[in-house]
Amino acid sequence: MDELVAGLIDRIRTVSLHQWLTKLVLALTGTALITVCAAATGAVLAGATPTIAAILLALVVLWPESMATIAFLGFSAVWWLFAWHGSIWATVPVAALVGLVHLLAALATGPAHAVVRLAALRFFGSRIGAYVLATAGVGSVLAALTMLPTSRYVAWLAVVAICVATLVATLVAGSIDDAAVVPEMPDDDEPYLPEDLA
Amino acid sequence: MTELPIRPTPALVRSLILGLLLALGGILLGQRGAAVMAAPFIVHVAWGLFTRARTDVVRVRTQPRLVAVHEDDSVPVRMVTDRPGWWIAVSWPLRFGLRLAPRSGAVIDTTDAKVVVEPHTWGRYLVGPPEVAVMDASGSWRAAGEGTSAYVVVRPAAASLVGSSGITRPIGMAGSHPSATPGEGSQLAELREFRLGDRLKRINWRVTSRTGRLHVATMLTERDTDVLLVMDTLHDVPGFTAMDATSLDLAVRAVAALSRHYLGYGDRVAVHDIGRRMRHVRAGTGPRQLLVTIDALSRIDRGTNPVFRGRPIRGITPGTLVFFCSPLIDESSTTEVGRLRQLGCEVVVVDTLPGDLGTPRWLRRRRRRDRSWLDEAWVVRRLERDEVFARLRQAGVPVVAWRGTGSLAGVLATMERSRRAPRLARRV
Repeated sequence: MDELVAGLIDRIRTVSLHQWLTKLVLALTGTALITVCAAATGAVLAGATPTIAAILLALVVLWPESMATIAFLGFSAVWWLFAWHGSIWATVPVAALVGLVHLLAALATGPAHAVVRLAALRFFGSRIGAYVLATAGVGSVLAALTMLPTSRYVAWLAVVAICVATLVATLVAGSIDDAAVVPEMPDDDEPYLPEDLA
Repeated sequence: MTELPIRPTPALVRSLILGLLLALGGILLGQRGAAVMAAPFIVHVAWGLFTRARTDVVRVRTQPRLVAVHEDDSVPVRMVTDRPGWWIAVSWPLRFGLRLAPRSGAVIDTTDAKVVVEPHTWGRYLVGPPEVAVMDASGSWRAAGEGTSAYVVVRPAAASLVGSSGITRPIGMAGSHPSATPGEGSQLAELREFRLGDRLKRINWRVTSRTGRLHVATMLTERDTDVLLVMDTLHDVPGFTAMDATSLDLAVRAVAALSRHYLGYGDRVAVHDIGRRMRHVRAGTGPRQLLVTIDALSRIDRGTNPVFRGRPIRGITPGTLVFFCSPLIDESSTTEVGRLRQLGCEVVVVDTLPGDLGTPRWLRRRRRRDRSWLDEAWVVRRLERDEVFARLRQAGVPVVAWRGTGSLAGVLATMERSRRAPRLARRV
């Protein structure tokens, strides 16, 4: 226990300013998600649910690659789905927010004491922005499909097709051992090039 | 170059699990919102598949892997990956004697991560091995592992020594030091009457016209000489703090300055290390010899010396000017000084013990909680050394403490003056 606490203190102490900001953005996004979900919650679980979500969020901020992240995202998604009884279009921005937390947790995995260069910051910013827009777009399409009265089965078929296709594509992609061309890095600091040894 | 295997990240696994659960759960429970909530995870998986590498390794390379710089120079060390569009996180370990920028030694950048390394002082430094992680833009694929280290060799600065050459009896052939041998030189030896065989251009017409008899000016030849710089690296005595110069640092600086000084005169300079940390540098002249010496000095291993017996000096010519750079805490060093003197060498001892060690000032600066019996032991050792110094001076060996480039000016000037001083001549 002492070692755990000492490790935690050391971990907090050695975090760089840039990583603190990254964690702050993650924490604020997660808090926004909790706030949005809490706004739709009924009185029965009002106290416990945000508390559990906040604890999970704290764990996500400290350990983004742990099980806490999948638990927080799943908990938040289920919380919203069961708490919200209004228009399905309100789910689109919430889904985008869930995606944002998910992606920030995926990218906030560098060394805690690392400095983030400006080029990397711009790189992340552009990718995150594009992802959020794509998520909102796909979510809107799915919401529109489920709204069509005669296309209930079509919508479900579309969802199932997407999921199965994703699963199959992942399995297939994972099993392919492609030997595609990768650009050779010039080894100008190596004493010999392979041609010299031939 | 290092090849790191690519693995899916927990984020991709998260997307797969949550995407499938939400989609299938929505179907089973009739929740339309679940399909919409699965959208971010489905998009993430699709993005990950799109950016998936076609090979299963990422290659990373350290640039440069070996570099030699001068003191106070900094070296930018880069970690380069072969994946454009992926980002790289590098964490270089902190080592004593190296300053990193950024200070933590860890950087996140796109494709090319640079950390500037600034060594504190001369020597060889192994920078790394770094921890490297390369990830694609979606955070779905990552390659992590250890990169290749970089070697930095820092050459000590050869400062300009203040003072004259101090050479009293050069033993070489042609150089810039006036000798006692008459011949074709630029320094006047005497004015005497013309004898048969004297060169006509040496006739001094002013004296001739005054005295009425032909007089000539005889000159002294100029010669170079052999200079041997001896380093005693049997022990590396530390300074007051970890960052202060040790006896090894002082010896290296003294040898570098002396090499530059005497190579500038055109003399032949050799370097010998009786502690075997440095290879023997054979006698040579010119700028190349200085580079060879500085390079050999920069490769000295600062670690604990496993050698307990010194390497004696062999094959030395009588009349060689020897600078013996030593803290003189080992009896074998003092014995070697005496042996060199007996062989007919002109020996100058350069004391490289860190300045305050074993003095009352040292004791006053030590904090009470840092005091130990070693402090008093050093005081006693310094008193013993003072006795050794007195005996050496009686034997005609000057002892000078190294405190910078002006330390030897007085001794060299005294030696220079003694060359011109009248000597008792024995007549048979």
